[in-house]
Amino acid sequence: MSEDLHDIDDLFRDGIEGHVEAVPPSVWEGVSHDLDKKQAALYKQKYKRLKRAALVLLLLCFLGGSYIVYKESSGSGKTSFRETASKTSAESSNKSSEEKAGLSSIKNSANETKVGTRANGRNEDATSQKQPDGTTAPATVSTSPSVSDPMENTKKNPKENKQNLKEKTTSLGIDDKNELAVKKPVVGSSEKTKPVANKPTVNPEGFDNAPLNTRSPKAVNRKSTEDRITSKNTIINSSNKKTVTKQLPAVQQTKIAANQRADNIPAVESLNRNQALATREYAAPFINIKALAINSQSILPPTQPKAKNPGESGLFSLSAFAAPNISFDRLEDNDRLAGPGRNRQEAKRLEDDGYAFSAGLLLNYSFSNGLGLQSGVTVTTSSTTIAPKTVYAKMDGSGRTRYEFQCSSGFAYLSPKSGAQPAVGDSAKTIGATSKLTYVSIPLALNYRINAGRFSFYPSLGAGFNFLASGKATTSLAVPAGSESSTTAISGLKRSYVDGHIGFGIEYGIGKKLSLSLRPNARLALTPINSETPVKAYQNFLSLESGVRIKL
Amino acid sequence: MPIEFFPFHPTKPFPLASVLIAKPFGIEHQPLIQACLRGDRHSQNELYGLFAPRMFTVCLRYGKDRHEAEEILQEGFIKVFSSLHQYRSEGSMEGWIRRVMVTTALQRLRSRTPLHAVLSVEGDAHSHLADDEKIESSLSAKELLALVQALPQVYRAVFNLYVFEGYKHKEIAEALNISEGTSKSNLYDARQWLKEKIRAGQRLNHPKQKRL
Repeated sequence: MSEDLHDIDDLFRDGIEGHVEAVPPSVWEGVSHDLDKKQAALYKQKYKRLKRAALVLLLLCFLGGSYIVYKESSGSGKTSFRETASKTSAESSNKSSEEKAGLSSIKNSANETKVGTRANGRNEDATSQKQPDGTTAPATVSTSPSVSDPMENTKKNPKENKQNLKEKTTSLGIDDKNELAVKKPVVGSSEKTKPVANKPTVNPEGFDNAPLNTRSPKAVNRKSTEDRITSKNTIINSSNKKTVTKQLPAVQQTKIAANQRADNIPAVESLNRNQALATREYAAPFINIKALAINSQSILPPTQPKAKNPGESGLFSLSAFAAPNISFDRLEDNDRLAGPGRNRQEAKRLEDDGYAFSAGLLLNYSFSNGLGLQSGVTVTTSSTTIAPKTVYAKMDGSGRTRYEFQCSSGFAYLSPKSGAQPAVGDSAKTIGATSKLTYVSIPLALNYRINAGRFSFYPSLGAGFNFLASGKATTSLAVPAGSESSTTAISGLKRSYVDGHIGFGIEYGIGKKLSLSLRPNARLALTPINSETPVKAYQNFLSLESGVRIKL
Repeated sequence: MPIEFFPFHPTKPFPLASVLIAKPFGIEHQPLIQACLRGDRHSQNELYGLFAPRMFTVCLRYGKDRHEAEEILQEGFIKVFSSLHQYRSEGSMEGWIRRVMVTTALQRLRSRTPLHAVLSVEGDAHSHLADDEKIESSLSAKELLALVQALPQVYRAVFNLYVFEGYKHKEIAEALNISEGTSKSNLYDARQWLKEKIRAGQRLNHPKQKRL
């Protein structure tokens, strides 16, 4: 270079500007290494956030599940306590009504003696009264207005009473209706006995006024009375043959035959004794078999009917979802058609998966055992970006010469809108291209639903039949005037392909019929989406379906 | 006020050379730029391959030797890919990358040693040549580059910014944190130094050439 210059600036500027120096490969290696380090740091930061979010979500799910389980367990416990309390009160009220019925029956049977019946022992409030002659009048039953003074009756007609009682005692005082006390006859009961203070006792003349109320036995001649009573007082329920033994304080009880008692007990005494024993306070609660039969009572606590899986058996439900997808296509070389520049490595190098999205409506049918069947219609759209490349003109199927643009999905023919048509072998450059595929799918999947309160979990497994709705490539072709953009259909795509589905869904019920769902799902192609192309593409997706489910 | 790393200088025009030589790199190359932004290594390699040879020449002018030029180039391209999202496709991509390289070179110069203004250049008695002397040069680009690399670092920075990047003395003063007068003086000295070196080379090659 030899120039006559008077300006050093121009000399250097013209001499150096435009000069190109070969760059050693080590420079790019250094750049690439540093970019890798930055990318790794970026991913680390990015996934750190995701990890934190996942951890928080997991913690929330765990806390929510624990709260639900705790609420369920505490709620059932409270309910059972309440039920038990109500049952107990119902039982006690039943018992009191039964006792009343028994008492009334006894009252009816002993009506001739006009011996006052005793009301419920709790209501007794009898007091003893001292008579002017020194004897102690028997306590009267204050709560029973119908009860007459037994002493008065016996005083009036003692002989009649004795006769009547004799007749009565032949039956041993056994009431075949419900129950009656069979007692040992008391000998020598004519002695006057002082009634116990504050004891509501029926104490006709000659009757053993051994204290029937076991609360505070303080009779003066109690010992002698107790000595006389050597038999065990038993209450025999002829219906159910149950024997309830009641023990008088400081009295040994032994079993006594009904006939012996009948012979030994004076008529009046036995009847009164029977009545007294039947109505005494500590009378054992009896089981009224007939009442049970009438009222259908059960000694066992009622079992709650097994709750069905709420609304899950034999019901249809409709789901709607939308899902962003991450596509990760699998490419394979077609052994017959692949070659240099037309293979999966080239496709992987030039192509980059873009966005993918799917949405759909699904119909679910739930069986009784938790299994469910799901089907419906979904639409999936995916796109792929293709880097600039060189395309060559060749004859297409219709006899025209056009540039053939190859991609992993298939191929498209481009013809420049302006300028002359290319000849076979001509080349051109694409500045950029995007391929977009749309499929309508009919999925079929089995799922198994596990309920946990408001949450339910359902793993699912199935397959999908995907039908091609649209397959287009938008390319920008570099022409002398600039660039031309065109959209053409992609050839080589199959009309349908099959893929497998596997997912795990989580649902949260926000009402009786409505629930929100979230389901990570993987769709793996079982058959390629294209045929007769150098590269076979298998379209795979990872998606996060979010939607709602409505029970029909 | 030192220039912070900012590819687009608000007041400095694009270098004339880069405008003439640079090919439009606008909307048509968006897919490549988008791919680079996504971190696609192949696309980044492609972009690097498009501009690295020219940018290496720029770095050779600022570096004292080839090794330093490689370091400036590497550092510059890392910054290019890191700040590619700032490129707005409003101007030449080459001009944008060139600014990145220049800024990287200046930052490197500032960080290494303070840029002392060299007020005088030691040399031969006949080094001060008249401005109107004609210079015949048959030097190749590599030889010219070598001469520029041989300049003292301050002279080199001033000469490059004025002659190749089109900076004014006020902008050079701000960039190098020197006064405007020093910038002018250093430019003059740099020119004289280069002239002398060229002349010395010519005398060696053509000893019979008369001095004017």
